[in-house]
Amino acid sequence: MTRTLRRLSAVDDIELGVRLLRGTPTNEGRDDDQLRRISAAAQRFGAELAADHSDPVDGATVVERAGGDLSLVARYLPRRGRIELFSAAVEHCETVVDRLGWSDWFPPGTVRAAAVLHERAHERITHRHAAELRTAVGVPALRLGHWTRWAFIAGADELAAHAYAGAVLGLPRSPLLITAAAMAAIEED
Amino acid sequence: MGFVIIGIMVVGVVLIFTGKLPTAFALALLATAIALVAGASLSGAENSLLTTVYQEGAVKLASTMIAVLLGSWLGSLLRETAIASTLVRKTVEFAGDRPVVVALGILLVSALCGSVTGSAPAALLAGVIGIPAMIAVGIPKVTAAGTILMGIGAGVPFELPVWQFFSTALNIPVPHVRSFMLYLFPFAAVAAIAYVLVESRRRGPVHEWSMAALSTRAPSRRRRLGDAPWFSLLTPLVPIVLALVFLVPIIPSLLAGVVYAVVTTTRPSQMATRLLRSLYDGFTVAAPPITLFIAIGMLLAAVNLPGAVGALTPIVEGVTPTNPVLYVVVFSALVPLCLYRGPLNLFGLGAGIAGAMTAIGVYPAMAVLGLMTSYNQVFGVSDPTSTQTVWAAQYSGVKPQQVLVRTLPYVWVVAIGGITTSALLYL
Repeated sequence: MTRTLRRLSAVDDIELGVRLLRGTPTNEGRDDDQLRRISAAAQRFGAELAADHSDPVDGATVVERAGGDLSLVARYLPRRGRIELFSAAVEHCETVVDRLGWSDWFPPGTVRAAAVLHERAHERITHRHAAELRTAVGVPALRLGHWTRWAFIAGADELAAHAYAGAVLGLPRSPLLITAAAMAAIEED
Repeated sequence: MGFVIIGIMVVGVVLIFTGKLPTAFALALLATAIALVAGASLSGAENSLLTTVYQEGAVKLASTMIAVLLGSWLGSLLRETAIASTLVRKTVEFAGDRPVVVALGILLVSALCGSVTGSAPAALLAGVIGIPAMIAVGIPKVTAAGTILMGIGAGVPFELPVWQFFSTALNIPVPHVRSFMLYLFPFAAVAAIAYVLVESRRRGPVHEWSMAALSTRAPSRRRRLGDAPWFSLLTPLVPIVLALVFLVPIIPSLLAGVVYAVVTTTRPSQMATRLLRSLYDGFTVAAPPITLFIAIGMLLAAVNLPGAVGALTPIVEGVTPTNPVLYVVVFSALVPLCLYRGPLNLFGLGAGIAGAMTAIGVYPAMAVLGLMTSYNQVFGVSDPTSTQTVWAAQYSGVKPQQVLVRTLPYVWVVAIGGITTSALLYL
């Protein structure tokens, strides 16, 4: 593991969120300040959603899939009511965490648990909290007098889902850090 | 003699199909061979290889080439002024919660881009941001690629360079071409909307924990362009409205679109620079289709030589169905022959076949127009060898053949609709 990977631990979760938003289409025109505000708001929303237990129990079944692209950890297929975990990517993430000595932050088994929670967060946001996330992020798409239509920001739901998983598991750092390190490790190889 | 010409055409199809020769070069060779077999003299003012086929044929589609160049220029401006990206971004901002609505919005953007510049440039304009944006909100990858292509297909009936092409190639006045395109458009639009609704719901949205957005190898951040003003977003409609409603000729309509785009987005001091830069960019984009149109013009000139018409007439009259029902059944069944650079591909040998049909008079020119515009709807969306299909599929991370399988049922229905309408109106 190179120094570059180890240095990632010094990047805070908000900045990691900015990097994810920057890599997500339709955010090209947003400046860094706005991306920081979006990143902070979306992650705060995800953490607050984790504390809200008013929603009914989620029903998607979890299925393990062997193989797959190393960069794809999990996916949620609402139409089929299924969350798929890609074991090769999960193992890759666990290996990276172990080799970087981040096991105190992310104990063994964290990636699998975070992946399931991440997709459950998507399930909750998609079905019940999409408008609340838009409001929380607070970027106007259109203003007419006092009425505002808040914009959907691509990537914000992803940040909220990571924050949700981190909050439920009580992690000191967002699983975004694992994502960034695991991707950097793939690119180094 | 007629069978020899058909044999030459078969060889041409094989050369194109197998990729032994670029299509334009193969068509130019075909034109040469057909002209020689049809008894054309080497030189001379009439019916000669050098004058009729090469000199006059090369510029036969000149007005189409200018229209293609202007469409490409306007396409470059849509990109450079952020009009296309703003349309996509606004669609996502307003409807990102509902992936199907986002896909319908990007379908509309693709249709507008398709009406301006068509094929690969339109796919790039709408797809560069539109495809990852759709995937980001949960649209499956194949559906995202198909949405861009079906959108372009819905816009093609209003693509002014295509009107010009059919008008010149089949010797039909532009207003007649326009009238049939108005019949064809509802089929293309309904099929495109049905594709988005059915395919999005059938497969459902997908949410992924993917590492790709954090890749350090991602392309460097695109130049920040900001949002284009809302009134500039009407740019793609300007040429369509002028040509369709006010019956303004094609080239001035496209020029008006260029002027509107630059006036609504650019400071006066920068207009000249932007216009010139985007025009040069337009030349680059338009180079491949213009090359093709030069070769198609030569092929059209060759198949229209009296020797070729005389040789092909008895064969074509013997095999083509004259009964309207048979016309619909046979030509609907032949739809796949416009795929994989097949013999009915309009931007290949299909142009020659259309030209021969018109010259021989086996069908009224409008019936040939109906046939070829219907095939064009299929080729433009589903052909896994066409640039826009390959690009959209690969950019979405799927294979072109997957896009073919998913889109073909929809565009085949469009083609059957167009062919049936053509039979009802013109046979």
